[in-house]
Amino acid sequence: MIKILGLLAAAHLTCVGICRLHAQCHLFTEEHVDVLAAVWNDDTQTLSLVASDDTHGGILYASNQCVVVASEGAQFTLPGGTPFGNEGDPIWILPQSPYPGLPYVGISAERLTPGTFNDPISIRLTRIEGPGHFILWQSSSFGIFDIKMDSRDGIDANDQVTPAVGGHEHHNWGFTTNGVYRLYFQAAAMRAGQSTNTLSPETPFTFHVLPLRPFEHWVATNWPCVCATNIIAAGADPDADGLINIMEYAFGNNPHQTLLSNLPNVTFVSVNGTNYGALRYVRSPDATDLAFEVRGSDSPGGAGEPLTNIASVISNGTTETVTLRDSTPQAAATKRFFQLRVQLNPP
Amino acid sequence: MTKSLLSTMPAPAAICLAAFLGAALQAPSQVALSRGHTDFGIGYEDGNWHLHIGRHQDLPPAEYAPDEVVLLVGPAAGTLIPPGQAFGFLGEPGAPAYILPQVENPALLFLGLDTEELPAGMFTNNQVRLTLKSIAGPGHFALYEVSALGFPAVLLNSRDGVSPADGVVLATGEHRHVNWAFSAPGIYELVFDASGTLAATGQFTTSEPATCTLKVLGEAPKLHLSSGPTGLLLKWPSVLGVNYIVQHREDMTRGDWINHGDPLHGTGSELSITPANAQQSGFFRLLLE
Repeated sequence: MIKILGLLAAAHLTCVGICRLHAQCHLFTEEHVDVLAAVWNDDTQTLSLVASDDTHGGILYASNQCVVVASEGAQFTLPGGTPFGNEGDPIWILPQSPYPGLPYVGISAERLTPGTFNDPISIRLTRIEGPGHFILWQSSSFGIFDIKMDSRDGIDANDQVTPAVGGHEHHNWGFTTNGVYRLYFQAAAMRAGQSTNTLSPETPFTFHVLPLRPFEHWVATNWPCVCATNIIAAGADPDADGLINIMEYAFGNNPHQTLLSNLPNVTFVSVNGTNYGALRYVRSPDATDLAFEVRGSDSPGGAGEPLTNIASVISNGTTETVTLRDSTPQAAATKRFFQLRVQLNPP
Repeated sequence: MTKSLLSTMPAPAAICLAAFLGAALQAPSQVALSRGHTDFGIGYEDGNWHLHIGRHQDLPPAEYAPDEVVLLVGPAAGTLIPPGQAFGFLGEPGAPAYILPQVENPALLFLGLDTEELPAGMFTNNQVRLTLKSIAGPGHFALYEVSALGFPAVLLNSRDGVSPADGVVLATGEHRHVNWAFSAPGIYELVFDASGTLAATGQFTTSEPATCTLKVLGEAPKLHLSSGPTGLLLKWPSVLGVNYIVQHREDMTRGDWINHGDPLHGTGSELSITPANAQQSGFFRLLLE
């Protein structure tokens, strides 16, 4: 009997907190958007952080309804003498001034009525998920950098901005490498006449800093606004078909369809008159950040040895079929077990 | 009679400008704007250009014709040009400059450029041009932006004269904050027009010129107190075009500040006043506008 095991996934995208799944997802690509807009709901007496599309009349989006996209045009090369890295290093910046082809990202307390809250409010960076670091700063009239948030030295209460009630600010949003980031913020504002702060929920905002890595792109394509780990994590199985995301990705499957398609199967190949067992599997050629490994062993739990003899690679258009033959001839074994391992390489 | 404990308080002069001198010292048709988020706005509606000064922070947002306002560049705008060549377009390193900055300083006007009223598709390439037609004033004017990584980009500069090349192309539907830099205190009249090609007809259209008045107040002057032949004498250096009002109150921290007479107009030379009915003790300050 030959048994196939498909195993191993590594998760790099995680998200906890108040993430919710929404059908619609809006991408900000070149709008003037106040990503951190503080809003007070008088009915529920709650403070929240939302995104305000100021290019289109101030339409509000919940943080899990929108993504800010920093295109390849956001990549700059650091000159010497800045506090953001070494000369020549790349950095991705959404600038404090409008820049063609990039979102113009602001921070706003404009929707808070002056007099109803003490001045100023604060918006803190509380957490960051992503492949690099996040820095928020302003450049002065003489090019002096005023860094407001910087994850490189950890995150604490100093990582904050303090917009005036009724005010509106623009900063440079810097990312040290490309990829998907989730930045968590929390607003604190003290209502007039009170002595304690009202806090917003810790709220994640998603930034796609292009180019995305292949698996990030696959996740962003399938669930652009979702940050719930039970849906987007590499080890999650949101369609409950028994194939976790990393396997759906590896096989070129649709993770929204409960289909066990493109599963590995066992076959036999003949080399110079000798028959061998072989494992045939389908892989997505776009999944260049995956490492595939097939191992053969004499027992189901055995470590076995990696199979390296490629019998064939056949292109199917969007996928390709790979056949790896065993190193042990069929005649030399009573049973063999093949295991396909897929691993997501770290960024 | 000996006066005791008289104080000069230059710093509050700037702080109080917006609070209650805005309307008080200007002609009825002019409003002085000294702080807050304010934009030079460019609109186009029903075949007419609409250049205006918008106040985002007012509720509801206020809007003025450019000649209805005086834009104040308060004492906090005073700075020195840094060493090196990067900012040499403003003058010699170490020389004074007066800048309304691209990043908001609560003590100063936060003056931006606003084309948000212009919808996409109205103008060819979704662009209009703001052109500096002329400048009158005691010094030079430069409009510039500093990038995320600290590099200045000069948008307009009168230092090399004003020519048709002194224009800045602005994307429509946009709003940006820039540095408005002046080389000397005094009154500046900047004349701008806006132009663009209407996408629907291909017609090139130019607005009527609009005059913006900016008053650079300069550094907060030191108020000099002495005993004159007829009583207490207050003296201070003045800037041509800047108005000064002397105020006093009897307690350092409490009570209303009382105006001493009408505003005095700066001449560029020293101004002085002998307050009538001065008390045994008191505190004086100068307000600038």
